[in-house]
Amino acid sequence: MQRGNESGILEKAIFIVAAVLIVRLFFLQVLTPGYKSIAKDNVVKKVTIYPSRGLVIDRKGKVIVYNDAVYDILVQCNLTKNLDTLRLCELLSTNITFVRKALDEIKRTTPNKPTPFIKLLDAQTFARFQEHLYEFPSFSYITRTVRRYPFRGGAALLGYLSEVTENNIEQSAGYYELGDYMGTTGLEQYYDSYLRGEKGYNYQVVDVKNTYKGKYKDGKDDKLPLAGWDVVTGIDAELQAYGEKLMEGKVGGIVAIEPATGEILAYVSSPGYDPNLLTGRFRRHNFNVLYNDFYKPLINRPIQAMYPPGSTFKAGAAIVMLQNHIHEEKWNWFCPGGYRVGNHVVKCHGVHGIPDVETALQYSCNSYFCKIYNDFIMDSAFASPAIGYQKWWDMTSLLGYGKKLGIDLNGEKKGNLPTVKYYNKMFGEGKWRAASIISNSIGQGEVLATPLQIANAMAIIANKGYYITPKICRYLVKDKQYKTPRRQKNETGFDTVFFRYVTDGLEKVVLAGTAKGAKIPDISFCGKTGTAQNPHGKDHSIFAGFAPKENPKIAIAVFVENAGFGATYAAPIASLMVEKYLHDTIAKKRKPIEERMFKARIMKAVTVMDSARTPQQVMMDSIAKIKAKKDSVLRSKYVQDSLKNAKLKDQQKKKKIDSSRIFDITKPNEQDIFQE
Amino acid sequence: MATSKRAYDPIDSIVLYCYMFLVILGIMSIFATEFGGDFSTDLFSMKHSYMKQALWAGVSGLMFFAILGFDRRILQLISYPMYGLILLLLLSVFVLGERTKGDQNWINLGFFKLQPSEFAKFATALALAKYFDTPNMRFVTRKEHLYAYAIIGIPLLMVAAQGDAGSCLVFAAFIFVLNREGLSDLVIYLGLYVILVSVLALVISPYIIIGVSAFLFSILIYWNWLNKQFVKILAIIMVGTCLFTFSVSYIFNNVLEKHQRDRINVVLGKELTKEAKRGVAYNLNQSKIAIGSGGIIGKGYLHGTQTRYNYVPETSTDFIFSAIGEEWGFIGSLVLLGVFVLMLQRLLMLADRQRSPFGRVYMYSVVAIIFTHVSINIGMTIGVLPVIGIPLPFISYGGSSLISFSFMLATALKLDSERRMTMR
Repeated sequence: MQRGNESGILEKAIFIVAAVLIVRLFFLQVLTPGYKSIAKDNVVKKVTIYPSRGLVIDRKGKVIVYNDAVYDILVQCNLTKNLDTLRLCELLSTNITFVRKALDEIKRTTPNKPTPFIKLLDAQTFARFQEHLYEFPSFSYITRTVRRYPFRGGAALLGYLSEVTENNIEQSAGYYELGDYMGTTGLEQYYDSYLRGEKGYNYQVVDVKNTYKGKYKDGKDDKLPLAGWDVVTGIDAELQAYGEKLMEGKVGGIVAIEPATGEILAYVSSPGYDPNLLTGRFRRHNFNVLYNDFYKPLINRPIQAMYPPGSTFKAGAAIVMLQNHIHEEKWNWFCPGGYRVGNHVVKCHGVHGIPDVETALQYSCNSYFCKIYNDFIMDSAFASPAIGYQKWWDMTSLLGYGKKLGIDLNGEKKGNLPTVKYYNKMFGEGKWRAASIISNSIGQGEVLATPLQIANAMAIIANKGYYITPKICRYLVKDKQYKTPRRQKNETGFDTVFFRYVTDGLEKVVLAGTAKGAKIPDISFCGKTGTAQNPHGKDHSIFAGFAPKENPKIAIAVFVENAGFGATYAAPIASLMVEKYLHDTIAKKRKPIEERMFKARIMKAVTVMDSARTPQQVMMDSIAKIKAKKDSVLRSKYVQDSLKNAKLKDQQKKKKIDSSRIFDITKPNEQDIFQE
Repeated sequence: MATSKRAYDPIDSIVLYCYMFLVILGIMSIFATEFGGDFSTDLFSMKHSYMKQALWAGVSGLMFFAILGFDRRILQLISYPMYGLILLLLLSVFVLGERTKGDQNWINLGFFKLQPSEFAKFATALALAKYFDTPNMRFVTRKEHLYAYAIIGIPLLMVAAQGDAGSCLVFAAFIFVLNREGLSDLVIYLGLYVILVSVLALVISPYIIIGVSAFLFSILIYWNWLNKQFVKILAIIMVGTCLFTFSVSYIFNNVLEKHQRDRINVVLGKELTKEAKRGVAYNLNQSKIAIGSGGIIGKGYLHGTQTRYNYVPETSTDFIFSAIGEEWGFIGSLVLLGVFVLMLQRLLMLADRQRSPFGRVYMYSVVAIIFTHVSINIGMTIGVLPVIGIPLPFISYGGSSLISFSFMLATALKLDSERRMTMR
């Protein structure tokens, strides 16, 4: 018997609610695709396995950089019971406050999973701790690697690793993640993509408390790490170490190149530092100390410091002159002890009689090179000095000046071989002649070059006309696979025959010229001294050369900042480097020189870091100099008198050095008078 | 008239199969949420929830047969005493009860945590059925209405006092039963109206609600202004709406507890406190991730990550649907909902063929109870309803819940099988 309400509201309600739920479920499960990946991200933890970074090896097979195991001690705080903190401190050689603080921090943040408690513990301490590890059941460890440098040198060359930045991560196309380390300078940076290898991954399933629950997909997606490529360099580790020892207490750099292959044999930036300082636990602190050091040890001087090349530039100038048939090699020019341009005299450091090109090189005769430079640019064949200068520029730049050479290091500077545009900007278009820029002829003025460029120019002379793009890396090797960087032969186009005269001249420099002290027994050493004036203090001591004369094995450039004449420091250092490389030992009679070089501490003479002057700054300095000169000319016959009155000049020069930290344009000065 | 051949029909197989399906799915799902993936450990230890649930399923099975063996007259006879007993138990919860998550509704019997509210639903259904079975009961007089409301209202108020919002809503669902027995449809529509206004009052300004409803009512009155009765009712509703709208925020802020407010805020998408974000919002989100990540066909049995690795809370009890949605996907959810709908619709069919009001009212009550449980439980796991601690019938882990639902269903089937025995 039926009674009551037959509307069936409950029946309908069931269908309606079911329909609502189904629509919602359809929306959640079918139409929204994002949940699958969110769920996966929840449970799948990617654990990175770091590959071992490639080694760096020298030309004789010695390892320059290797990886050393260090250890992170981990603790899982929820498993610790009756922890003997004192014993822990004793074993780990730490103090109790540090241990307590670290443990409290871990208890607060991640008590459920093994968490690093001490990072990058050295192997020795770890070995002691490992023997007693059974006493601490909740403790475990993971092995990590840091870079080690057995020669404790070559920092500028090798570079260092640092933690990746957001920028690096973006550029690495997903390879790097926050907290990774990558090479940020030197070889470590340049060959980073080879050295680093490939990271491996383990995918783990974890629950909400981050407890390990097993492998994701039974480890199907896991990847083993691949070790990096080893970089075999052309560096001679012993020569490198020797060079660094010679440069101790001096600011500057050495670059040695094997002319036939373009391989860098030694690459010294001084002051250097022990690259081991920038690894491990105290990296950050050490970096700050180095960064704030007055002598800027982090500057990569061989490729980043731009110095006036000084007289070393003359070897190239001679080639340019000969090639262009401005004068023949036997052409003479009378040197009265100076070269006069207008009311301005470029002084020579003696009266050289009637030098030809070889003798001019031998004695580094300024007036000879000023003359040929002037003759080149003001040649009647050219419609204007600018065209002549452009021609000179074209030929000089063939020698590798004013451009990046393409060494396998980042941050290489171009130097400055001033262009026509540069001078138009400086003097105004058409308002300059050879006389205005006569200093370029002797590697002064606005010309700037890196030590690498100077060494490379020597390699060109050694090769009689070409150079191989300098490279540090000989080849990359991994599991008997080899990769060789492209060796580019760069022809300069100069006739081989002209190099003979220059080479002979350079040989005379060492035999009986400005660098007599740099003679090496049994080796015909060719080279050129240089003494570069700079507005900031004592002259820079420069030497560039190659040896032996026939079939050269090494071309070298040495730069010592504020050390005076090229023959005083740079030449002996270069000769010792060459002797060391070719003979492996230093002759007994030359030991005192070696000793003197080792002991010399002349860093204190450096008051301003001249290493990083830009072409713009140089132009400003030059403009200021010209203004000051005009000023002085108006006030007195200062410059004209200067040739006759050497003593007076010397006194004023001393004063100038004392107060020349910042160039003062109101003061008259005699900087336009060059020595050597 | 009973046929001469058989005193009663066999019990309804559709409902029975649905029941068995759900219980087995329940044990399987509890196993899935608890099983660590290692078969070598002691799988059959009684410390596992799924083993306990299997045990309760066995107990329920035994009771099923026991109840089928009862005479229906015994059921009618024990209705009121049982109702009284349950009310006493509910009262005792205030004294002996243990609090879990702010709700005071457990009595710890040592081996078993008794939840009287689960049994109260069954007892109330029986008592209501018994009341409607009274001779000459027409459910028209004010007294009859009052008694019926009292039978439902007393346990409702008691569970409300215990903070058990879920059971409270279940008792409120008895309104469907009263509707079947003659209560006007308008009451249900009014109920829906109240819910709508409450939700709107929480989401938008009460003045807008009053303004809009006043506008709508004036249009209705303009069309029917000659019907004095209609105008009078609308006026009352209008005034009620005004009062109610203003009281909603008061009730929300002062009567409801903080965790309840948070749960409502999450569903309404309101700004949350930090604590709520980390608590209820996080939990709900994880549940949605679990169900959503199941996709169309699911991750496969024992392959649900969200629910097996505890990202979703309470996966074996209130949030068991997350595990099913994750492992069996949209198709599995559809099947589960389908089985529930089939079972409930079948029960309604059975109810309508009852000859006695006792059977009919009782079975309607059972349908209303299960319906409320299922819709609230699934609704909360997918974020359409606020999180309310209420089990999914036959599936969620919990002895009280499984046994009381089995009891309920067994009684309904027993009544149906004997429907021809009634003389009326």
